[in-house]
Amino acid sequence: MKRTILLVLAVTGFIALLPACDGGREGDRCNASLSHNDCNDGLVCITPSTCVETYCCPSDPTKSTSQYCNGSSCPHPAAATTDAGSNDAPSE
Amino acid sequence: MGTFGEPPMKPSHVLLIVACAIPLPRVVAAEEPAAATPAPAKEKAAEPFAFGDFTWMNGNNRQHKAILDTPYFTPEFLLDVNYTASTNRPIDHTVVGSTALSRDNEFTLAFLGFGGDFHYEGVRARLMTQFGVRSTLVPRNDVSTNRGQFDLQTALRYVSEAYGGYHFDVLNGINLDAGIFMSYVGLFSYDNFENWMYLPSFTSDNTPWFFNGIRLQIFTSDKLKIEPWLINGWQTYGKFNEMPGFGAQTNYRPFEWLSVLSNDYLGWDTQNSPGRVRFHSDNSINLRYLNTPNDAIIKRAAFSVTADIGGEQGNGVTPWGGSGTEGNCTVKTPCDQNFMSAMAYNRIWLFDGKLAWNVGGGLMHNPGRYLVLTPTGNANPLTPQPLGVQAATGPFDTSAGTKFDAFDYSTGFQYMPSEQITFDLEFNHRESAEPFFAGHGGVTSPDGYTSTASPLGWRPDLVKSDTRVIAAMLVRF
Repeated sequence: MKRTILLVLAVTGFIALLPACDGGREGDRCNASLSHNDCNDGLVCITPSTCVETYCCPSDPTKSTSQYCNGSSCPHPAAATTDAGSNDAPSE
Repeated sequence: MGTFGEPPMKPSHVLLIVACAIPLPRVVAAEEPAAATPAPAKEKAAEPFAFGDFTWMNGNNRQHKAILDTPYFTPEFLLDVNYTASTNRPIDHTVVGSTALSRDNEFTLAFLGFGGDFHYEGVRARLMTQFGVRSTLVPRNDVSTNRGQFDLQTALRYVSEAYGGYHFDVLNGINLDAGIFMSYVGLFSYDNFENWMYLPSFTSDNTPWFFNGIRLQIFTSDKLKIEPWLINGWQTYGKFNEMPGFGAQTNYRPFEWLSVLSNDYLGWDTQNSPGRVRFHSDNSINLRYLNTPNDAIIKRAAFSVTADIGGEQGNGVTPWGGSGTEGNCTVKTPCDQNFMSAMAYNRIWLFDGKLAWNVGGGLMHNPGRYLVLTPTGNANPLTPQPLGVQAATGPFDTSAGTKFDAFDYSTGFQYMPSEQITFDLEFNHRESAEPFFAGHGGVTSPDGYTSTASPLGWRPDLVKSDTRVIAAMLVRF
């Protein structure tokens, strides 16, 4: 009985440790090919005009403070760099 | 009769003995059996490490007997199925930076192997096949196979262990084996059934799982093993340069509750850099600090601690004190290239010993990134790509002068209703100073499929942290 209780507590603990399912936040990478919106409410998965990658952005990305959405930090075509990643962005 | 070493007899004494012997042939004959009684058989040397029960150790088999054992062959079957999910939810379902995990949010047959140990008189051999994702996940880290022909990765990926050898009854046993054999650099076993945690820390995951060559296991007593190796390289099927790799494992178990392990290596493991030597020292302690079999709640408790130190010297790098920077690593201004890491785990066996709670973690410092498990897909470093493989659009930089620092922690339970099965459930968090893990965008293509083209400039989504839950079922006969 004790073992069962402990197992239940352990599994519950693990589930509690997991963050709730979350869509992409502003500036996060996303998958524009999906049949549903990959981003949190109020955001859409788009490719900013100067970028080659897709990000979760407001429908008008030029007004976004995210440097990926407003195009100031996302890679332009033929501008491949190493160690690239959205976490590498300067703090906003 | 005189015996060897005694002074020679005088002739008169010899005559006396002969005279006495003549009338007493029966007596002499009667005494013959006594004289012919074989000397007491030479006491057989104690079996190595058999004086205690070491099934509690991290990286050691917890089974007490091989249930399928026969006089000439001990069959073995291994099955390892896992499910893992990262909070990054990579769209390509790809895990970066692990040799235990490969696919995210999918049930994965990580390892399926069958084989066993052959043993007849002194001859011995072992075969363990390797199917499942590990047959691609592990060999991919060996780029020595790009050298020359005959596609060593294809030829060898489906065997994880394959060696034959001979046992000499000298000291407490000497074994000479040749072929592909397991490495225990980084303490954890390649067979996850033997480990306290499913996803090991960087110290284990970024160090070799196997060697290809010759090993000599010398048991000088039932407590000490010294095992020199002569191998092709650092977890390589082939050789990068002309020199082989040298190494040795020393395992000392003075008591049932303590094991001290050291693995040490010297080799030349960089493509086109015969002047660059690698050294590595891996050192572990397994200590069981509590053994209370009659306690109703805690049966046993133990911890393992591992610390590694290594580096590379030559051809523009130096272990420490280099003055160069990335892009400017020269013989005169070499860049730092070393590996320093540590990990520690604690395990408590609960109730009837069939449930265990584990907690642990570790850290890794590896400037030059020569032991980093490089990301795959479009983040795969350009350098080791064989001809014909499309260049990655955003390769992870593994040049001399780069930095890499990371840490991880984890906790989990293992439920072991019998000695043949383990159910594992664990939580793991890993973090790196530079983008390394697969982010939501994955490392494959804009929609995560290899069949979708990546536009020029598209980068894999590498991020600095990875938090995940892992569930696994492991079977071993």
